[in-house]
Formats: sequence, structure tokens, C-alpha cells
Amino acid sequence: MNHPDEFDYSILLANSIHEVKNSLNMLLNSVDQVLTISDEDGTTNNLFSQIQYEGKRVNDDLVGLLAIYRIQNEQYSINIDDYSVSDFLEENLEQHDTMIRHRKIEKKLDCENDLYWFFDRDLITGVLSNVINNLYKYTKNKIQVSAEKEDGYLVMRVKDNGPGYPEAMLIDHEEIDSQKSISFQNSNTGLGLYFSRLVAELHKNKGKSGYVTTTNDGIDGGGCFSLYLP
Amino acid sequence: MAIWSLKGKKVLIIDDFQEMRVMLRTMVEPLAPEMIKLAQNGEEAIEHLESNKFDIVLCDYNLGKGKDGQQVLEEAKHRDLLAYSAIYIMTTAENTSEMVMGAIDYLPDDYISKPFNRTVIHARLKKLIEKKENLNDISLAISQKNYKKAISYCDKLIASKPVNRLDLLKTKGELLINLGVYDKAADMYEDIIEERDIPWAYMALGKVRYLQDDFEEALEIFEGLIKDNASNVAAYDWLAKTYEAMDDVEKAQEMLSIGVAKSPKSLIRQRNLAQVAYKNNDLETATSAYEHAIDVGQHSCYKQPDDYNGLAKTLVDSGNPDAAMNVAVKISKDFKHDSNAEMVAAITEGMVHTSKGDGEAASQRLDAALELFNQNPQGLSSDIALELTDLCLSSGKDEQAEEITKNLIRNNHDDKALIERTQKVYADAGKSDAGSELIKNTTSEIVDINNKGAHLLKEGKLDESIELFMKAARGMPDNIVVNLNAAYSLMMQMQKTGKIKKYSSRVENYLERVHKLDPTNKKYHELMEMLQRISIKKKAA
Repeated sequence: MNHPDEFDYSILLANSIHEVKNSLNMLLNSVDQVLTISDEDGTTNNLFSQIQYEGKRVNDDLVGLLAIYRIQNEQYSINIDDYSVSDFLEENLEQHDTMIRHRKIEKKLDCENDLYWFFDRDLITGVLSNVINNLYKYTKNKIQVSAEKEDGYLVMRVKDNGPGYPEAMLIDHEEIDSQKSISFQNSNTGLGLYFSRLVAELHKNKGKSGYVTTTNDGIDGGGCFSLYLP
Repeated sequence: MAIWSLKGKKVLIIDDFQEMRVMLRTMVEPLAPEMIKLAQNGEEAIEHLESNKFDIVLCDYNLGKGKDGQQVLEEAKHRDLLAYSAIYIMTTAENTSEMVMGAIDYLPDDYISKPFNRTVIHARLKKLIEKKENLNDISLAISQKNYKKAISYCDKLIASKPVNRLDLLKTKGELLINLGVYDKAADMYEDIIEERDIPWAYMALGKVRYLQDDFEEALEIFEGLIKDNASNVAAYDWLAKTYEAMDDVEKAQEMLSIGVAKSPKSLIRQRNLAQVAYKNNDLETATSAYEHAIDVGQHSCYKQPDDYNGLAKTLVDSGNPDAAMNVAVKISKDFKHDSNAEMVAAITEGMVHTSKGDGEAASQRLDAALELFNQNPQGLSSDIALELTDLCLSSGKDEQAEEITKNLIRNNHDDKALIERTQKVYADAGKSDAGSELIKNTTSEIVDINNKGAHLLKEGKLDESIELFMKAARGMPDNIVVNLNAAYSLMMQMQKTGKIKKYSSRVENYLERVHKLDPTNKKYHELMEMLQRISIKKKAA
């Protein structure tokens, strides 16, 4: 009772991604273990941390692509529940711990312990992971993640002390209606931002939708990514 | 380092990748659990769950061939293989959205997306254990089906305005619905929604409106959910249910078709679509949905021979008796050592032979089915029992038909829809009068027993009433009223004598039957409470 004629692209995509992600998962965990053993001049560790970085990027891009595909085809059922924001952010930073330590980046998490908010955990994890992965490329040595309530929104911010976003990547909330187009062709940050905006807009409450801004008021004029969730 | 550990706890790890299993074990080992078992597929997992009560289950959703992680969870819960305090975590390389869409009855305690590292899994386990411990009193009361007590524990925790207030409200709402206290549940959900648009609160409110027969309101709520999230499959399921209750079977089919297209992996959703499409005489859709139901249900604990029967019937109606016969023959292959399935197989084959005009073969299979029926008359679902009645009537076995019908009515004497359908089977066979007569006599027989027993109770002749109802409950184990009365009369006796263990376990048995047949029965909860009070009385004495 199989139906070989009914070709379901999303199932093929999901199954392939499942395979690739399992391999990546093994790879990333092995690299994690290697990185706990320090070598003498650090060359090997540098190479492994590069592998880990690229592996995480591949992983996040896959997650993003599949989610975008499903959302566009109305096959993604957003799963909103309330979570402890500080636990959630801590866990997200933890996933990047090896990289952060290895690159000697100073991290800071700023969030009240009793802050709870509503969101789709998977999707927001995808968004943050993308942002943090990109930040390694630009930051000098600092990353700051924070969350707080602002006018009925939860705002999650990721700041760094790098050179900031280039003009073409800046998104102001007021400009969102004008839909500053984000180009996929010349930047892979494009996919990340597109995904972030799509995810933000899926979060709705009492007639309000979520949104994303990118500004250059991070640490010492570095980049600041803000995700607003109603 | 963390001071907590998994000391004394049993952990089961299920993953189809060997490296992954080993890796998970090395992640959990430092927490020093009492036992770690590994399983590489759903079947192995069930074997482990049968032989040990695990405290923590880490299960991958995608397990290759055989059961998937959701089906393992369903079977574990369905067969009561997990303690109420157990933690079930679904690990997954995919997004959890698909899994949530496919799950109808049971959700795991948490999902963890791969890749994850040791620190993350430790942190999650710690939080989940704390959460379970915090809710321990509530879960225990729920596992004992003492919902009122569970609600009072919820209220106690809610009063302290904890951070998990919404979780508690969610649980409380479900308990109120179980108890049939719909007004209170609805008020609670409306209060939550006023604070914030929370999809689960809308969903639950829609269910309550449905249960209150306020179908218009229910439709509006479910449609609103879909407007916000076009992939809310559960909302489509409920829309279908609501339309069916409004007798709009076409709309019901339309809703189920959308749900199935978005999330095809659920056996129950496919089955519902098949049944509704058959009612609509849309044989093509019914065939395809039954085929999918059988296909996705291959490894599910919800798999039933009735789906094969339904498919065979649909194929016969589509003028394809040969294909129908193939399906009928498959029943015995797919359900081994299952006498009920054997009976359904014989009935289905008999039905197909009849449609082909092969009277001899049909009567042979019918005799086989009847022999099995006489051995175990209680195993059949109403649908199949009616089909068997139909076959008997059309081959002149009126006496056997009478037996089957009596048994059916005795167990369902207050189910009006079923009685109508029974009447129709007799009418279609040209035996309308005999049918009415039979239904009337059987129904009044039960009413008489209940009246007589109630009278005996009133006169204080407890022993006699107990004897009468217990005998009746033996003969009609699926009759709700008879079971309730049997439980009640035994408890009346215990109110005099104090708790008697033999009696109270019988009462539990009768009430359990009622709960299975009708989970929202109000009388059930009243009697459960009465039983609770008897137990307490004995303790005090």
C-alpha cells in the first residue's frame, strides 16, 4: 500500500535533513570532545574550532531552510508556549560555549530570573543561533545577550563590539513597511535575517506581530540584533 | 559542579544510531543513575518498558523501520507501562512542529533538538525532575483518578502565584473538563484569554463549547485558531468533530482532508477521514484514507482489524470484490493470535463472498465467525456486530442474529443512534417488525432490572440488590447504568459494614469499565468520591 507516484518533496527534504543532521550531531559532539583536550601550540584546536564553527553554520542553515520551506507551504505549526527566558538564553549560549571559550570571547547574559515569555522554542533557537554564529566573524572579543519586557513586547538583544552591520543590512522598525529588501545573492547573512523576520512575524498576540531590528548601538558601536516578540 | 544526581533512577535510551546511543549514555553516566538501558528500535524499547519501570526515557523520534518515538510513547501510556512520575523526552534531529502535529493523545514531557551537548541535557533533566516533583501530588491524584483532589492541589499551588501558573491552570482546566464542570472550565479559559492570546487556551475553550453542545461558538473558536495558524491540525480535527455533531458530514470530510494533507502520519486522523468519507459515499477518498490508516498504523497500538473491514466494505461498494478479498485475508496475517481479529476476518470474508454471490463460501465463513462469537460475545465493536447481524439475517440465521442483537442492545440500551442503526439493519432485511419487537423487549428487560434493583435498595434489601446487579453486570459488562448500579449497591453495603476489600476492588472494577466507556460520565465521579469516603472512614475507625 505504498504510493510511489505521490512524491512528497517535503518528506524527502525532511528525511535527508534528518540524515545530515544526525551526522552533523555526531561530528559536532566529537569535535567538542577533542576541543576539551588542549594541544601544545593550539594549532590543532584552532583547526577543530573552525570545523565546529562551520558545522554549526551548516546545521543552522539546514534548520532555517526546512523551517522556511514548511512555513511557506503552511506545513509548519507554530508551537507557542511560555518558557523561562533566562533558562532559554542560558541554554542557547551554552550550545556555543566551546566556540566562545575558544575564541576567548567575553560573554555576558543579562536577564531577570523570573521573566517568562511566550514563543516557539525551536524557531527562536534557530534565530539566535544564526545571529551568534555570524557574530563570531565580526566581534572583537565581546558578546552580550539580554532580554527584557518593553511596551508589551519581549525584546531579546544580541550585541557585539565589532564594526557593526553594514548599511545595507540595517533594519529599522519604522522602515519595515517599506520592506527593505534583503539580498540573498551576495550575503549569507541574508538567509539568517530573512528567517529571523519570518519567525518574528509568526509570533502574534492581541493584534500585534513580532519584528526584528538591526542597529549599530551595540558595545562600542558594534552590531545590535533585536528580536521583538509580542 | 552540580550536587544533584540521578541516583536510584532508571534510564532508557532509544535511538536507531548506535553512536548516538553510546554518546547519550556517556552524557547520562556521570549523573550516576541506577540503571541505563539502550534500545535501537521501538520494539526493543517496548520490551524494556515491559520489564522495568523507567524513571527517564530519552527517545529519538525517528527510529527507522517500525514504531516511531511517538508510537512508543502512545503504547507505553496506553498500556500503562510508565509510572505517573516518569519523564519522557523526545530527542530529534528535526523540528518539533511535525511531531506535535502528528500527536493526538499524548505529548512527551519535553522535546530536545539535536545537536545538544552534555550541559544542555543535564540542565533539562534537572529542571524536568524539579517540575515533576513540584507537581507530584497532582500527578499522583490524577493517576488515582481522584480529580477533585488533584484540583485542590492545583488551587493550592496556584494561590502562591508561581512562575508555572499557566501550566497549573492548563492542568486544572483538563481536570474540570474530565469532571464535566464545563462552566467553570470555560470561565477559567476566558480569563486566561483576556490576559493573552494563548492558542492552547482557545483550543480548550473550543472543546468546552463543543462539549456544551454550543457548536456555533465552537466553530468560531476553531476557525479563529486556523486564521492565526493555518497549520493547526488539531483545530481541523475539532472542526470536523463539530461539523459531524451538526450533521454536516460533507464539511467534516473537508476539514479532515485538510488535516490529513498537512499531517498524514496519524492513524486516528486517517481513520476518521475514512469513516466520514464512507458516510458521504465518497468511496475513492474512503479507500485511500483506509489504506493510509492501515499503512501508518502498522506499528501502532491503535491498529484495529475494523479498519481492514472498513476498507473491504468500501472496495465491495466500489465494485472491486477481489481487492476486498485481499484485504480480508490480510487481517489474519497482520493480527496474529488475536481471536477477535479472527472473527472480524471471518465476518469480512463472509461479507465479500456474499457480495460475489458465493453463498456456500459465505455461509462457511459465517459459521466460523459465529463459533468465535459464541466463545467470546463481548469482543466485537458495535459496527462489526451490526455487520454480523446483517449477514445472519440475509442467510436466514435469524436466531443467531437475535443473540447478537440482544448482546449489542444489552450493552448499549441507552445509545439512541445505535438502536436506530440496529432497527435499520432489520428493516433492510425486510424484518422491521421482528427488529422493533426484539429491541423493545431487550431494552425493557434492562429497565426492569434497574428498577427492580433500585426498589430492592429502597426497601433495604441490600444483599438481593447486590446479587441482581452483579449478575446483570456479568451479562452486560459494557452497560454503563448496570455497572454504576452494581458499584452503588456494593458501596451502600460497605457504608454499613465498613470497607471490605473484596467489595471495594469490585467497585473499582465496575467504575473503571464506566470510565473507559464514557470518560466524562458525571455519575462516575460521584461514585468515585463515595468510594474514597468509604476508604477514609475505615482509616478513621
